[in-house]
Order: sequence, then structure tokens, then C-alpha cells
Amino acid sequence: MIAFANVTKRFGEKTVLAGMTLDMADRGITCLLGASGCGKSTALRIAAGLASPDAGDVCLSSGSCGVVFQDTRLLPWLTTEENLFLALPARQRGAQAPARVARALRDVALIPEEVIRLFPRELSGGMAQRAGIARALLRRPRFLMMDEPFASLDAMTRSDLQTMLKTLVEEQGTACLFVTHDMEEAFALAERVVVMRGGCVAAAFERDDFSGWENRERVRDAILTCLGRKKGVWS
Amino acid sequence: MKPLRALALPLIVLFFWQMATAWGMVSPYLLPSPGSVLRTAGEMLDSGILARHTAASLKRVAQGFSLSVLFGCALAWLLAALPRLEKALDPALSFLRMTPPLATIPLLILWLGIGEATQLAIIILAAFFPVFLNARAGFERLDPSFRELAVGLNLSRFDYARYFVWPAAFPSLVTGVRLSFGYSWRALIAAELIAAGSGLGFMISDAEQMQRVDVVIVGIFAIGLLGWALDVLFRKLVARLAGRRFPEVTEG
Repeated sequence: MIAFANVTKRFGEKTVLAGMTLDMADRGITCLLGASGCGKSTALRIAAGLASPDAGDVCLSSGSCGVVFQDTRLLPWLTTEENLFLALPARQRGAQAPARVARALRDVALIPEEVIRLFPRELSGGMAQRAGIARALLRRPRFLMMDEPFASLDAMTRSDLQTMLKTLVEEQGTACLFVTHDMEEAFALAERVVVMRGGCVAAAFERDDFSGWENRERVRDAILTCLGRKKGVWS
Repeated sequence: MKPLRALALPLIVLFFWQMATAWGMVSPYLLPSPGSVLRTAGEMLDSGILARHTAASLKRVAQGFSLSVLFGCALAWLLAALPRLEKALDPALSFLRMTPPLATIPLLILWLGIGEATQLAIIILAAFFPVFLNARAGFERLDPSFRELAVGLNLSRFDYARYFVWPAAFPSLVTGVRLSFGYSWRALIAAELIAAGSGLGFMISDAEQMQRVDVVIVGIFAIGLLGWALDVLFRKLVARLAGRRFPEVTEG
């Protein structure tokens, strides 16, 4: 599991995380929900080991983690296949690697024969993000960290990818930390929604809290209130 | 349409050249007619003189240019890895960069003698900075977000250099190498004008002494056309080998 205890992070004068405390389960999708600048991406970076906290404790149980970025971050000078090879440790890039890469691509509903030789600029936004997810899952990580991965996709592609992600997380038994500013996306995906505001956890809701129409309306209002917004003006 | 446009200016120049010489407006001693220059070129090709001098020049430039590229890339890489060294060396390098290689010729001749070593040194002094500066800029071109990705992927330093830093620098390196080739080619001629017994530069300065303007013009054309052809060849080669990975290097 991942546990944050009183984690603080500053960038210069600006305090981005102000004593954040969070426990994350070993299974299912946890969504970090908040407006931009609330520290959710920084929290994810710390959890992924890409940044270190200034104060507080971060506890990561052993096991690798794969990161998916909003901008896919596929290297433009490598083909899809080569991009995925990079996620394998150097000594595993031998004869077995292509088969492993192909399997990972099939897991995210890409057809390996069609995409392995293409460069990222030749992929559609949705395909590129699928490849990004395949790369993150290639090492079978315990944790999948996703930073607004679907934010720049069109609504249809996004909904396809959400469905795919839920299935993948279930099948592979990984835990996923999913950062988003989209409340409906959080409801669609998460076992647990953690609402952040001003670098702290402001509220947390379990799936039971927001399943069913009435419950969801109530949680929606609660989230809006705790983000300091009037009802119905979420953006 | 395009080759026609490219040919327009040379044809106009050729026309006026031909007219000026045909009507006797300039003495053939100062400016021989295009026809006689062409004849001279033919004779020099037949006798193998042009080929011999060209080969000598090409060999020199190949040595000086490849050493420049090697030193330039190596030093840029070293400075990228050691920012403190970069700070320490920066003033000295800026000073050297502003020093024209031609100004150092007297010293080079005194120290290295009149010969291959001096010529090589002049070429390296001229060709080093374009490749070095472009390489240095190139090694800083990697997007910081990719650095984060490399951390996330747990890459070794070697893999990081091989798959991230060098490819990111590649377009800059190509620019640097092309510029550097042009500089080394031009410096070579300067070097041969001063201290050589062969090469196109020597051929030109020798023809000047013999008052053979036609040979001088043949030499100038040989230098210009050859340099141009090699640049085109290099660009085509890069586009062919790396065009799909780096579409930006094929432009321009």
C-alpha cells in the first residue's frame, strides 16, 4: 500500500502539499480529485518516486510502479515498439521482449502488427495513450500512477479508455492512483474518491457512498461544497 | 519550375560575362571568356591536375573536419556532464571563439612549421566551434518532462544518454556538422593559400603567380561546386538514414 503521513512539499515560496495524509488500498482505482493547482499531481509524483517530499513520511510497500502521463511521453524518435522496450530492464530486452511488448499492446486493445513500427506522431491521441498505458503496465507493476491521462482526449475515446482501464486494473490486480479534475470521470472509475484542496485531503468517499442516483447527487453537492463552490458550477 | 528558378541567376551572370568578354569590354587577361575557362577546365580534368589537387584538399578536410566533430562533440558532452567545468571554461572558450583562425596563422607557422600540421590546425580552429556550440545547445534540448520519464522507467545512465539525450541533440548535431563542414572547407582553402604544395587553394595561389586567371576561376568553381555537392550529399544521407525518426532534419 501507499501511505502519506503529513507530507509537505514546497516549490520556492509556494506550498503545494500542506501536511497531506492518505492511505491507498492495494487494489482498485483511487481517484485524486481537485481543481488545478490543488497539489494532486505533486502528490502523484511523490507517490511514484518522481519527487521527494520536504517533510512527512511516505510509505511505499515494495513493488514497482508504472506512470502514465497526460502527454503520453512517448519518445518521438522511437517507434511504439522501441518505446515499450525501454520500459523493460536492459537484460530483459532480448528475444522474449517483442512477444512481451505485443502482449502488453493487445492488453490495451491495440493490434501489435499495426502499431509497433509506427512513430508516436503517426498514432491517434487515443492510440498513443493506450501505448503509454501498455508501457506503464509492461513490468506488471503493483501500482499504476496516472496523471490526468485522458484529459486531452475526445469524449468517446475517453469513455472507451475508462472502460478498458477498469477491466485492466481488475484483471491484472494492480492498484491505480488516478489524478483527475473531472468529477464524473472519478465517479465512473473509482473505488474511492479522494478530494483535495489546498494541498490537503478535504474529503474521501467510497464507492458505496456514491453509487445510485440519489447518493451520487448528494456526494456531488458535498464535493462542490468542500471545494468551496456553489452547487452546479463545477468546471 | 524549381530548377529553372535556381538556374536563372547563374544564367544571367553567364550572359553578362559572355557579353563583356565577347565585346572586348574587359581585357581577356583580367577576365577570360566562359569558353576559355571551360576549355582550361577540360584540359585540367584530362591531365589529372584538377583531380590531384581536389584529392589533396579532400583528404585534408576529411582529417580536420572529422577531428573537429570528434573534439566538438566530446567537449560538449563533457561540459554537459560537468556544469562546474563548463563555468570554468566558458570565458576561455568565448575568447577563442571570437579569435579568427586566420589571426593565429603566424603563430601556427612558427610553432608547427609550414606543412600539414599547420593546415590541420587552421581547419580545426575554424570548424570546431560550429559543431561544439551546436552540440552543447543540443545536449540541453531534452525536454525536462522526459527526464522525469527516465526516472520513472528506472533507466541506467547509459540508456538515458543513448535513448534520450543523444537523440534529442541529434537535429542540433546535424546542423553543427553541416556548418562545421562548410567552415572547414573554407578554412582549408585559406590554409592552402599559405602553406601547402598541393590542394585547390595551392592551385589557386600558384595560378595567381603565373597570372592564369582562367585557372583561378576553375579553382573557385571547383571549390564551390564540390562543397555544395558534399553538403547536398550529406543532407540526403541524413534524410535517408534518419528522416523517419527525425522528420525535422529533412527540412531545409
